[in-house]
Amino acid sequence: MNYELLIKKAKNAGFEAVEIYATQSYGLQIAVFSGEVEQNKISDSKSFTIRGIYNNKMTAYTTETASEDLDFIISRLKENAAALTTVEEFSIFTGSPAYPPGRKPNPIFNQIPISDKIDMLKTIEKKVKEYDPRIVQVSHCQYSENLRSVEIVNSYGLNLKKQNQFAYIIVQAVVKENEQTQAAYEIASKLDYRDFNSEDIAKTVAKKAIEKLNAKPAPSKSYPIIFENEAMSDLISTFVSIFSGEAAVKKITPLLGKEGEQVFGKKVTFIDNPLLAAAINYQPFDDEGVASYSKNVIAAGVFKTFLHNLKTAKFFKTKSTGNGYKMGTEIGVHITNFCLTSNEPTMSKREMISGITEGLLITDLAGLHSGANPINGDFSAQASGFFIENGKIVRPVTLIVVSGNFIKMMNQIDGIGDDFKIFHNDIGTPSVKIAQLPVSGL
Amino acid sequence: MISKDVCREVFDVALKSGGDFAEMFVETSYYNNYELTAGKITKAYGNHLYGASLRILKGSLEVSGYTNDLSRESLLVLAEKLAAAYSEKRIAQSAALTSERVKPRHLIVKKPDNLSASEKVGYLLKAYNAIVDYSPEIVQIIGNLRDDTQKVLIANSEGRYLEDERYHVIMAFSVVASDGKTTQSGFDSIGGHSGYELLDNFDLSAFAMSIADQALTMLHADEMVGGVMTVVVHNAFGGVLLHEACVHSLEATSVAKGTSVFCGKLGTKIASDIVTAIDDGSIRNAWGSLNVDDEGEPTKRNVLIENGILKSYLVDYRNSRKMDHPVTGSGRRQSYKFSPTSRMSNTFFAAGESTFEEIISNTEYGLFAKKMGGGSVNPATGEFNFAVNEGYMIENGKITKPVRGATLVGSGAEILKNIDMIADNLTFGYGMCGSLSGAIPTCVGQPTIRVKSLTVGGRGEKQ
Repeated sequence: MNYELLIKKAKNAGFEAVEIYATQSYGLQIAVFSGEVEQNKISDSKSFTIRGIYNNKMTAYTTETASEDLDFIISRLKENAAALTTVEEFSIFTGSPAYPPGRKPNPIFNQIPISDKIDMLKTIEKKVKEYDPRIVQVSHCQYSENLRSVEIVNSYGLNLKKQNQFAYIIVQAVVKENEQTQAAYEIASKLDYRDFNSEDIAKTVAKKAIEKLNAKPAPSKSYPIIFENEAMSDLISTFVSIFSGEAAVKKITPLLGKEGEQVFGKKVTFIDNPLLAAAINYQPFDDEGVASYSKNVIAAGVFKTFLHNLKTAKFFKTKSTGNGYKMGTEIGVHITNFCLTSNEPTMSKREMISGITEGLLITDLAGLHSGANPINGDFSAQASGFFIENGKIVRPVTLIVVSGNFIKMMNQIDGIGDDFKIFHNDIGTPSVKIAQLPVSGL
Repeated sequence: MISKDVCREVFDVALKSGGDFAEMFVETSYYNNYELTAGKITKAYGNHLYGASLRILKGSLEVSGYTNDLSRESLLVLAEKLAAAYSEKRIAQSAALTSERVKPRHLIVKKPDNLSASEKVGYLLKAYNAIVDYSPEIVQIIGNLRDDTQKVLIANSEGRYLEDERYHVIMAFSVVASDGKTTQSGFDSIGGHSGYELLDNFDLSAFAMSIADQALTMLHADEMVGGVMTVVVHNAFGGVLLHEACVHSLEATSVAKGTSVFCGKLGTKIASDIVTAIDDGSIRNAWGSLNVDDEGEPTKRNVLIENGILKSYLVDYRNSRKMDHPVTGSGRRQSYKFSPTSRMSNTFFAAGESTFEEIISNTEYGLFAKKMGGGSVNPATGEFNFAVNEGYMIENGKITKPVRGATLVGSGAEILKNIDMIADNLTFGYGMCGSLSGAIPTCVGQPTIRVKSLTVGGRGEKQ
C-alpha cells in the first residue's frame, strides 16, 4: 500500500489528518495428539487500518489486502464520518518527545527446526501420560509461535515501528477415576525457546489434574477464600475495564468520580507496566504512537487514574496514559501488564491455609465472561479447588459457585501471597486471601 | 476469486508428499460496525477480510496455512511449504474441478451494501428513542449494530468448486439502570442470516423496552440466595442451556478424540424421554443458518436426541474420517484464519406438551430463569455454568419476587436426565459461539423447560 499517496489523496478529499496502522504477522501452530501431529498450521497475514478525521469526526477502516483501492477506502471513511453525531473531540498523534527502546525479535525461534518443536510436544504428552495411570488422555498439547510487527505512519510525519515475538505451550490432561472425569490445563509462555522445560510443564499439568479427582461440591455457606494466583488473575482480568477511561466516558464503571479516593484496602496497589523486560507483552508505545510508561492505577488502595487513550484523555482534559490499543478496527483502552502488588508483608500459600479453620482454596474459575458484571463489580462464577479444614487441605471441590463484588472484595483482603506471577492474560498477581465470600454448592 | 485451473495446480503440489485431500477456502468479507452511546452515534467503522487458506489431510492428520496474497505464485509457495510437513510418495491427484451452483435458501432483500451508514444507524436511533424517557433510573443506553457480507470460494481436490454469499445483521442493546446505590443492566439482541429487512419487520420499540424493563426489574430485585433447587428455564435464549450443557459435548471436536462424556453413546438413552434436541443449519434466514457449511456441504436438520435417545453427533469432514460417522453439514469457521471443525448452527429442544402456566403452577419452590446470559462448558468433564440475567423466585406455584445475580452450574450428562417438563412455546435467541474454529453466529432455542434439581449460585446470604 502506498501510504504517501493515500495521505495525499485523503488530504485532497478534505481530511484534516490520516493515520495508517499496518501489521504483519507470522504464526506457527502445532498440536500433537496420541503421538501424532494432529495440527500443523502456518500463517502469514497483513492488515492496514486507516483512521481519518473528516469534519471533526474520526472513523476507521481495516483491510487485509495491500491492493485495496485507495479511493474506495476514502469514500468509506467519509460515509462513516457522515453517520457520526458524537461531539467528542478526536485527534491523531503528533508524537512523543522520546520513546523507550523497542524489543528485537528472537532469532532462536527460526533456528530451531519444526521437527524439534514436534518432538518437544511428543515428549510432554508422553511424560504427562506416564505420570499416573489415571491420566486417560492429553486432550490438548499445542505449541504456538507468533511474530508480530506494527508500523504507524501518519500525516503529521510520525513513523514508528515495534515488534514482538514469543511462543506458548498449552497442555490439558484428562483424568478419570470412579466414573468421574476431571481436567486441568497449563500454559507456559516464553520469549526464548530454550526456556521451555518439558519436564516442568508435564509434571505441573499432571499433578493439577490428579489432585482434582474425586472432587465434590461443598455445602452452601460463606467461607474465607484463598484465590490461587491464576484464578485471581482471571478475576482481575474480568474487571480491568473498571479502570478504563472508555468505561468512564460511558459512565459504566463503579469507579467513576472516585479518583483520589480510597477505593480498595491499603494492601492493594495496581501498576500498569508496559515496559516489563521479563513479560511477554512489551510495548514501547501504544497503538496511537504515545510513548509508554509505568503508572500506578491504585496506590495503597487509593485510585490514582483511569487508563486513557487520546480520545478519553481529551474528554477528561488530561493526558493519554499510553493505553490506546487496537480492539479490532477501533482504538480502545487496554491494560498492558497489569500487576497487583503490595507494600505490606506477604505470606506463603501454606501460611494462608494454616490460618483457616474452614474455608476454600479456589484454583479455577469458569464462566466469568457471563457471570460477572464490570458495570457494578458483581460476580458469580463456577469454581473448583480444595476444601480447607483446621489449617489443612482435606479434599478437592468442584461445581460450586463463588459470588461477590470485586470492589468490596478488594477491601476485604486479609492476606497477600508471595507467589507473584504474570499470566497469559497479562495480569500479574500473587494468591490472595479474602475474609469471606458466599459459596453455593450442596 | 481463484480459477479452477489455479486451484487444481495448487492441490497437485499440496498432494505431492502423501496427502490424500486438499482444500482451499477463499474469502472476501466486509464487516460494518456502528455504536450508539447516550443517543449519539459514536462509532462507525468498516473491516475488509481478505485471504485464502489451504489445508492438506493425510488420513485424519491436517496441515494448514493461510495468506492474504492470493496470487498463483503465493498459493503455490504456500502449498510447497505445507506439503513439506509430509515426506511420503504421492498417493493422490486432484480431480478435475466442476463448478457447483449453490441454491440460495435465504431471501436477502436489503443487502448491507445498498444502505448508507446514515440509513443503518437510523435503526439504532429508533430503538433508542423508544426508551430515552422511559425512566429516570435509566442512566445509560448503548446500542451496537453490525452487518457482514461474506463471499467465499470453497474448492477441494475431490472436484468441488463452489461460491457462496452470506449476509448477517445483528443489533444488540445494553441498558444500565441505577438508583444511586446499585447499578444493574439489561441486555438483548436480534440477528439473522438476512439483510436489513430483518429490522424493518421487527418491533424495535418493544425490543428496547423489554431490555429497559429487565434492567429496572433487576435494580429492585433481591440478591439470589444460592442452593440446590428446581429451575424453570424460559424459552428463547434459555436454549443456551442445551447449547452449553449438552451439544458442545456432541461436537466431533470432542467426540472424535474420545474426550466427550457422550462418547460411544449413540443409540443409548442420555436424556429423559420427553427430550428431543435438534441442530438445523437450514432454517430460512435464521442467525445460525448457511446455504452450505464452510466445507461446501449443504446444511441440514440433524436430530441429535430423539425421545431421550442419542441419534447423531455433529461431524465435519476431517472428523468423519476418524469417527465412521457421516458429515452433518456442520463444518464451520470464523474466517479463513481458522480451520473448519464441527460446530452448531441453530440448536434447540423440540416443543413439548406442557404449557408455560402448567410448569409454573406445578412448581412448589424454585427459580424461574426468564432471561439467560451466556455460559461455558468444559467438554472433557461436561461441567457447565451460565448466568441468569433476569430471574424470579417461584413459590407455591406462583412467580413471586425478582432475584438477581443467579448462576447455574451442573454437569451436562446429569441435567439432560433431570428435565421433567417441556412447554409448547419454542422460540430462539441469538449469540456468538466461541470454540476452536473461532467465533461464529449461532441460534439457541427452546420452549420453557423445567429441571428438577440444579445448583444455583448467588451473592445473597441465608437469613
